[in-house]
Amino acid sequence: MFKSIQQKLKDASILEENEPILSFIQVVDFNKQQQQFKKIAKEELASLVQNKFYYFLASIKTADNDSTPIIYLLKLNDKTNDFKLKVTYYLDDIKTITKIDNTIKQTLSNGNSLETNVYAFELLFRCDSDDSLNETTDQKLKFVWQCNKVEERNDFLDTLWKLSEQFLKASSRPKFINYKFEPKKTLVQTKDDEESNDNSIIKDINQQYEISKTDEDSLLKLMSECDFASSNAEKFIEKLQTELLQLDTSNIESIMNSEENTLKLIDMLDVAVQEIDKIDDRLKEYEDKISAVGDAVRIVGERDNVIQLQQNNQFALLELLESMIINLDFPAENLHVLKSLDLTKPESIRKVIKVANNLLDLLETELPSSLTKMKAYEEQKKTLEKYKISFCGHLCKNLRNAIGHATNKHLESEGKNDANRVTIPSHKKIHDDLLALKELVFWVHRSNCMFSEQNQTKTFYEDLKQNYIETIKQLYIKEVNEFCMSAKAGIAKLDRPRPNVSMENIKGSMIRSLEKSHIGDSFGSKTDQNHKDTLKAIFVKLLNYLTNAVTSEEKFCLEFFAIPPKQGKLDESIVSSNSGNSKLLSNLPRTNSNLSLVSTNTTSSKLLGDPKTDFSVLKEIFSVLIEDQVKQVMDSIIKTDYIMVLFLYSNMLAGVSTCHQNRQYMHQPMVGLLRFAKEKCDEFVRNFKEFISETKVNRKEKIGILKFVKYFEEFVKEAEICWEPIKNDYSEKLCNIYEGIVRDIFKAIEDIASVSQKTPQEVVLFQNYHQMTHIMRGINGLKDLTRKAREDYINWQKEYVKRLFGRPLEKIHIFFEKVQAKLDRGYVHQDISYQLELSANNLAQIISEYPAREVKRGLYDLYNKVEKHLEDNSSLLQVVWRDMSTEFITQYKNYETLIKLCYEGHNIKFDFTQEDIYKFFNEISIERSKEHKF
Amino acid sequence: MTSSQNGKKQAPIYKVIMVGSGGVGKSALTLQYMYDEFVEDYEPTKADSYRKKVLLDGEEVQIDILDTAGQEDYAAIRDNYFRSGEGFLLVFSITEQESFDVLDEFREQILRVKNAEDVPLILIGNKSDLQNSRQVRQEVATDKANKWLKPYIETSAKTRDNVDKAFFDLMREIRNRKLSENNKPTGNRRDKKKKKKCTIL
Repeated sequence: MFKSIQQKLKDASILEENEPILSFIQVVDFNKQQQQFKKIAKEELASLVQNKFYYFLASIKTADNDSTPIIYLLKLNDKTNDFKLKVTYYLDDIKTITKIDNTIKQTLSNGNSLETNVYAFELLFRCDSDDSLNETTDQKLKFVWQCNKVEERNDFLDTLWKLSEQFLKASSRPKFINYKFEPKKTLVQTKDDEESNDNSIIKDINQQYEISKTDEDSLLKLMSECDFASSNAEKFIEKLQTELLQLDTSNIESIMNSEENTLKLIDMLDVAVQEIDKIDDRLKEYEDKISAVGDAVRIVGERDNVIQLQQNNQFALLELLESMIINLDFPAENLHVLKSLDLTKPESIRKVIKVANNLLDLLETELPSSLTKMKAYEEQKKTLEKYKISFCGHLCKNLRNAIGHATNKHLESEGKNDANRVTIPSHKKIHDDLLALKELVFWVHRSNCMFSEQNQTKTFYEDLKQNYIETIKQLYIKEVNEFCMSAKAGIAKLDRPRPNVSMENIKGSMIRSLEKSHIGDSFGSKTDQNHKDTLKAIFVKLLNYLTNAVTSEEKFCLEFFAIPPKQGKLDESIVSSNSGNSKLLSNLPRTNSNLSLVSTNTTSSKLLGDPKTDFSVLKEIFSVLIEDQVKQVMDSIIKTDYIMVLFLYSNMLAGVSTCHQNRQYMHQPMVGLLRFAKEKCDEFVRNFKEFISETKVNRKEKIGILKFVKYFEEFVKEAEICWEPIKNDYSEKLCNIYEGIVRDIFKAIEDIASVSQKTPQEVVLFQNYHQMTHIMRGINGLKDLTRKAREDYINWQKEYVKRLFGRPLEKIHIFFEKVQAKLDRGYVHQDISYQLELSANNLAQIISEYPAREVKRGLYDLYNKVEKHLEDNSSLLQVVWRDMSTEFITQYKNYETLIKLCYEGHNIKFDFTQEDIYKFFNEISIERSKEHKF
Repeated sequence: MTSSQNGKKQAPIYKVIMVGSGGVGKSALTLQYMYDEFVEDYEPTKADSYRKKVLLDGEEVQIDILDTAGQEDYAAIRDNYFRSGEGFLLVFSITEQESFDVLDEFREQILRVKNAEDVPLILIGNKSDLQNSRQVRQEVATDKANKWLKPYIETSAKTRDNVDKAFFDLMREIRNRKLSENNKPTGNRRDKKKKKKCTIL
């Protein structure tokens, strides 16, 4: 409601922009009303009053940090519904405000009495401050206004009270009569709308005046300061107003007076503006001139720079040319050094190397490409190039001579003991002589000079290398051949006269080899072992010398033909620059493919840090020489003593693994030799196996320990010796060989036993298995086969004893076997003697056929038989005889028991007692031992 | 039967017999000596023979070892093979008093069978590695050997301690015995009784 009214009032310019409406009340002029009440009826009154409605409005006018509460009296025009300002009161104009609550009793014209509750208030103004109240003079500035609603009236009064409390000094506050401010707390709670309205008013006020809080403070301060003087305030204000009036007047006067001066000032300003324009023009002129001068200076500066630049360029060019000359200058004295080429003294060699390297450095110097187009440069390059090539040729000739010279010197010194060469002579002297020149060799490589020969282009380096290879190769061929020849001669000395030429096939030589070491004679086997040791020593020595020679040659070659890794990169640039300039060739060298690879390979491999060393030079030098020669020696060793293949094989296994670990070139021929030795060894084993499976025996002859078993013993003996040094790494290889042979032997033993006639099968089996057990025991990889051999030996020996022990009492034996069979079938002991063929008489008769003398003879025969069955001098005789004796006595006791059980009372007795049997055995053994003595 | 054709060249054979009760380690000693192996499992031997060529003080000889049964069913049987022996290792276990005690009987049997008062023989106390279970004190064994005028050697078939020494010492005894016999007039050798007397003298 306030807002719309406020807007309306603002539109009507009654209220200023920031003037809030704090309270708004509809009132009636009570005084006028009272006058009219007498004439008008109530109904009429109502319409009348309605026409004369006034409105009071409480507000605050704020100006210059000073707030003044204001009350507006407005009149509402009913037609336009517009407000019209009637009077404006300042709150401090009001002297007293009286609240009136009366019940007025009136007697109306129609005789009815009317009782009306009147809610009104009276405003009494101060007389001095009232300017505009003309019509109320008679009322003596006293107005009474009636309101319709008590709440509105109260509210309005509340607002006035609050305003006066808040904004007016105590002296100028209106006095409230019959009114007491009551905060409408209780009321508020019941009427929400009003409360919120009420609150908003207060808030508005607060908001309005909080902004000027500082002002308020200063005001308050001022007020407090002036409080004591408030009694004089009115006088003071009056005085101030008069003074102010005076001041205003004088102000206006002075303003009026200064007009002339102002006009003058304006004129002066005009003049000044004109002056400024003039100055401006002049400044522009100066500016143009200055910029012209600036341009000129700039141009001069640029010119100066160009001159400086030219000067610098000239200096740089001079420097460049000087350095180019230094880089291309090759003094005549250097040329002299190269031409004279003295390689006899170390210091002159050093000098030559220095000068030669200097030459290459000059040629390799990288100059800016623009300079290289100069004719002088090209000419100088050509000259240097010419020096280089001529020196290179000269040098290579000298180096070749040096190689030849060193070799010849070596041959001369070694020539004396040519005939009986027991070593490969050391090439240390050659190597030392040549290593003094190794830097020159590297120079040759670095120079990359080439020449043509028979339509082929070669580098001097390759040619030199080829020359060395050829020379030294011949030397090695000679020396290695001689050495191997002497080794072969040494081997041939050991070759014993061949007893049977027809046996000289491979198998024959195998048998001979095994036979040689076997033949039970101590002298023979000892010399054989000596021969074997000698052969081994020869071979080991041969291999050692060869390995040493190859290793030192390898070391030399790597050093002599080495290309330091740092220079490797430069090579390519030389190649490219040379191939452009040199008229000698246009295509890259294509010599021996192996050799051309050397340079590039070693270079790149060294650059890459490849640990794999290049062996191509060594490959060329030794080629197949070592393999061939050593194979020949191996052959002759094998020819002398075939079983040496075991040694060769085992020795090569060890040798290869050593070479492999040391990354030596020797590894290559060694691998070939290992393959060769293995083939030979396999061949030997194959032949041995064939020999085993093809062994035939004369079935009419006695068979003892088979030949191949004896041979196997020799084989094992030798193999164990050979494998001793390498058993940790290669014992499995040997075990595999053993196993193959052993299985063949087992099979052959069974085969031969089954066809034997003279010797019982069991004897063949247990004797040979006994021997096999003996041979194989102690070989770790053959545990299972050993166990099998031993079991077979024990079983077949048992079988043999069982088969033979009955012989001395054959008939008795058979008789009691039948008895035992009957018993086994469940016959009662007593019934046995009633069997026709087992009658006591029969038994008595059979027993009578075996008198003690006869039994003794039988046992003696048995002993002889066993001895005949077994091998001569067999150590198993005692074992078998002991078993037989035990078995015989056991059976004798068994017979006695059976007689006691089955033939009780028939008085049957052997002709001999157990004691007699012991006696027989004893006598036999005494007899035998006597015979053995002689 | 008769010596082989190349008898002269053949290495001399020394016949050694292992004697002692069951389980004292006769076979273990033999196998250790022959093949450098030690067999843990015990399996009673009946009888087995081994032959090996060895160098005895630089001379190549052949040793024949007859490994016998500790538990022989018929003691008299021993007579037969004792007779063939040239030297004897009388083995007992130092951990078993009884095996030590019975050796006197064995020795007497050997002397009886060989019909001699003295034969190459060594007293062997085996299982010397088992000192904790020792029952036969070394002095006691030495006393017995001294009484017999024979050496006493303590061996261990398990650790191979003194094994070679036992066999080689015995072979040397046999060799010495043979040498002294060969130096005697042939006539004496025919009669054993006489020979026996000679040795006493």
